[in-house]
Amino acid sequence: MIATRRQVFGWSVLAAAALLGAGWLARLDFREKISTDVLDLIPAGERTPELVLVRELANKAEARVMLFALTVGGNRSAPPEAARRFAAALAGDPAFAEALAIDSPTPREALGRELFAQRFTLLFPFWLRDQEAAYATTGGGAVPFTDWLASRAAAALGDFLATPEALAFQDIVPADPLLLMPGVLERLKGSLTLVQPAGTGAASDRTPALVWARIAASPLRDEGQAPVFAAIARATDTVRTDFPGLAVAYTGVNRFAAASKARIQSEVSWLNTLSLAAVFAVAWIFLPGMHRGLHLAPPVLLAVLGAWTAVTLAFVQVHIFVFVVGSLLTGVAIDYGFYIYLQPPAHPGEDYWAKIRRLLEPLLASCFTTVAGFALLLASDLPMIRQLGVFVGAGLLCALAAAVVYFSTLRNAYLETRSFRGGQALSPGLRRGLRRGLVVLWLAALPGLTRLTWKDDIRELEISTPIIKQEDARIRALFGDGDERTVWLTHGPTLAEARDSLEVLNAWLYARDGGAAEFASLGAVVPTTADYVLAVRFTREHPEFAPRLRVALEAAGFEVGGFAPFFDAYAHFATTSMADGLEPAVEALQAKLTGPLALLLHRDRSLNWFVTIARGSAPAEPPPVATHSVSANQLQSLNRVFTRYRQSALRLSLVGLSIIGAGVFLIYGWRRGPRIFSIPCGACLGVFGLYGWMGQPLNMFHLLGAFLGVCLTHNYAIFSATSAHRCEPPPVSVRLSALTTMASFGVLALSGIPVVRALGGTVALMVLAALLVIEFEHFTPSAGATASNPRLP
Amino acid sequence: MLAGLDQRATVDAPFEEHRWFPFRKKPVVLKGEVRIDAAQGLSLHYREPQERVVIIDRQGMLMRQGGRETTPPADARAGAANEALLHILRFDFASLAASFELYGRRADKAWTLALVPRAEELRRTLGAIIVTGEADLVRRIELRRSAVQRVEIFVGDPRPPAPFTAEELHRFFR
Repeated sequence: MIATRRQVFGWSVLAAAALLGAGWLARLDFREKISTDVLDLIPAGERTPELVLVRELANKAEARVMLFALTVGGNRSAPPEAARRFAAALAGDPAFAEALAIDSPTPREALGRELFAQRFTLLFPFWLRDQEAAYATTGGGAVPFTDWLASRAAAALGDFLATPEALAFQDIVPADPLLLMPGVLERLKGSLTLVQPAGTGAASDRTPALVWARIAASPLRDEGQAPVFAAIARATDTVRTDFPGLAVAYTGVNRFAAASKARIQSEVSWLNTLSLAAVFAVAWIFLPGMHRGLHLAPPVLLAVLGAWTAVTLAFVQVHIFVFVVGSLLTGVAIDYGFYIYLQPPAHPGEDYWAKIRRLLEPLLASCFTTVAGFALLLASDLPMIRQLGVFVGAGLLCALAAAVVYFSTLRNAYLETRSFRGGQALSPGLRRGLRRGLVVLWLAALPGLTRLTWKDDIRELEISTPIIKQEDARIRALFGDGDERTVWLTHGPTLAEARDSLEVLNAWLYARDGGAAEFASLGAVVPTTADYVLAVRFTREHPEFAPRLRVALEAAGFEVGGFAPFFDAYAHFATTSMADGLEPAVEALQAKLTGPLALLLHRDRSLNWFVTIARGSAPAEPPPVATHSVSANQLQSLNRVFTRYRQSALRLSLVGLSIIGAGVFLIYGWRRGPRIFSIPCGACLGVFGLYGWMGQPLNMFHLLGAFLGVCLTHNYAIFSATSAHRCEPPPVSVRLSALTTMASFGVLALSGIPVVRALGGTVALMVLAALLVIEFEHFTPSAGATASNPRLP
Repeated sequence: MLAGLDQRATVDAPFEEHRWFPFRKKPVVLKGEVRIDAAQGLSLHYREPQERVVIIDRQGMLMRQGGRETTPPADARAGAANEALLHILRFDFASLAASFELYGRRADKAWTLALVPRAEELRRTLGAIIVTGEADLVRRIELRRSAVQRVEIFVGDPRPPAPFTAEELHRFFR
């Protein structure tokens, strides 16, 4: 009767907890609650310039670009008309904001028209600066500057008319005798092709026709994925009616995002399933009856439910990565079931709660040590690590509570294990040899620590998609985005500051290679504020320039009356231009930029940047801090940001290790303390030494894995301490616990995500090393000691 | 008239180019040599007022000056004019007819050919091309937008047709 009441109470508690948890989860909108954006792994408050840039880039036009390569009949270039029709079909779909065939002159013509309209505001300052520099080289003084300037301008115009370009510019020369437009073309040279390559369809029958497009929604959201892919399929079908055999290959951030999301969701599913299966497989090896072994499942399932509930309660948004790494929970959560279920009664008929009271101290010590370790993760800078701390910590507390309550509902809460002799089956000599071999291996591994290298890269957090990457590289290469291309973003809180920094970057780049590399940026058409102000001042302070230019033109054989459009516009600029007129002019220019050219400039209230694209021998090292520039490669890897987070994680791990070490020495003293503390530390050093020899670069998640490994192996060292003291083999619960932990973390080592592999592999190896140490240690009992039956802690 | 003019594989002749602009009193005069190779395209070797080589072929336009090569941005008007020049000097009237309406007049050995772009945009920006010649020689090519805005190319006696040497191909073609 008592047992029945206990069962009812236990089931009621468990059912109520399960209902509450399931009820909470059922009302969640998981699309909103669970993030798959890799940038959500980084703190929202992070103000590192490159991260701010990446966030902006991810949300703005740059990430919305899609590139298309069109072929027909296998690998023949699609006709230019097909590309134009395909671009028009995309542009007409609401999923796309704009689309154009890459040989479309529209973006360049729009840029040219706007530059001509604003030639005095944007281009005249460049011209004047160059002329002043040239005048300075003459020594000045002999001829007044404006006289010199007028004569030089007239002579330059005469020379220009004999060039091949002159015929193309003859219509605008009356409005531009200073040759501001040909000048800007000279500054841009062929660099515009770095931004928007010329169409290649006519150049080779095997080069696909290219289309550039920008999608309307963020590529990281559902709206920027499935509807876009559907629109592409519709456009392809439409154009294919007139161009049979048309094939469209494309790339974009949304392809990676969609593939990554699908694969991560798949990983969550199969990692958790495989982890659970591996853990139960290990359990069933040690347990005599499969059906009774199933009693170990409910506490684990309730632990997972509790972990999901706690982490979704604690955080507004949780990264899906937490659930991938969190699959390790099953391997640790099952330990409490082992501790309770495999513990024989102290005497026949021992009451369940008496047994729990007897086991409470090691149970709580084990649980709280591990939970404390994970709780330390709450101090991490990275939200994902904090979420993982809550997920596993809460899961373990739920696992302990669920195990204690669940086994109270069983009539017989004891499961006898199979008898394993383990290491005792080996001869003392062989065991000694194995022990010495282990020590030799460990010593041999240690020098590997000096070979350790670090690889800090946010891309390690993503699932590799080699086929899509390969396709992406192929299509980008068609658009001129190859290995020889380097991209920098020069940023500043205001447009003027960003432009000034760009001047510093340009000077640095020029100093590096003497102008050998080819660069493209809007720095060629947007002057610095200082140059603009000088130009405005010149027109005010030198009203004599216009009449002197008339005289010079007349003298050089020109019909001065033909230049009326120029003199009218110059007079208008001289009388109406304002010192703060540059910003509105740039704003107007930006509004007219379309296609790839629009990506060269970003203006915002808080962040502005210029994009510089280089082809050729661009410097390999990052630009100096004064340039306020970061390379796209830095932005892709966020290596500097992640180096800082890794160093922070290292400090956190060392603090945790110090706390654990201090606790061990405080509780176990100087005699047993060194043994307990040396097992996790030795395992950690040995595994890292092994990584060093293997040439495996480490990342922050190797550190995190080492920290978790220390927490877990520290438990085994403590639980085996009593047995060691008695010269007994390690308790079966330690073996089981270690093996299930190895199984669950070993499954993580199969993940497609590099950092999950790093974490899983590190913990599994550390647990293996610690288990071997513990097994071998107990094979050498001191004289007079006898091995007794294994005891649970 | 056209039937009497045989299509040529190579052309090598001196020329003088007069550029008339509405804002300049006198024309800008350029002198040099024109070379045409059926496979390599058109090469204009300017000797005066500045040494420069302009190459027009299937890949577009390329300029060589002072040891540097530059590619000017694509310009439909310049491209059409250069292509027309290439076809005119080779007497490749079939290719010309694809882009231009052809009008001709002949008086004894002298002949005049007028080319009017079929495309409206090109007709507006390029104007007409008027070619005058004598027997099987092109003497003058005029790209005429108006009386004050035109380009006249006076072609001298060509050298006897012969394949270009490797050195000439390297120096004057891409």
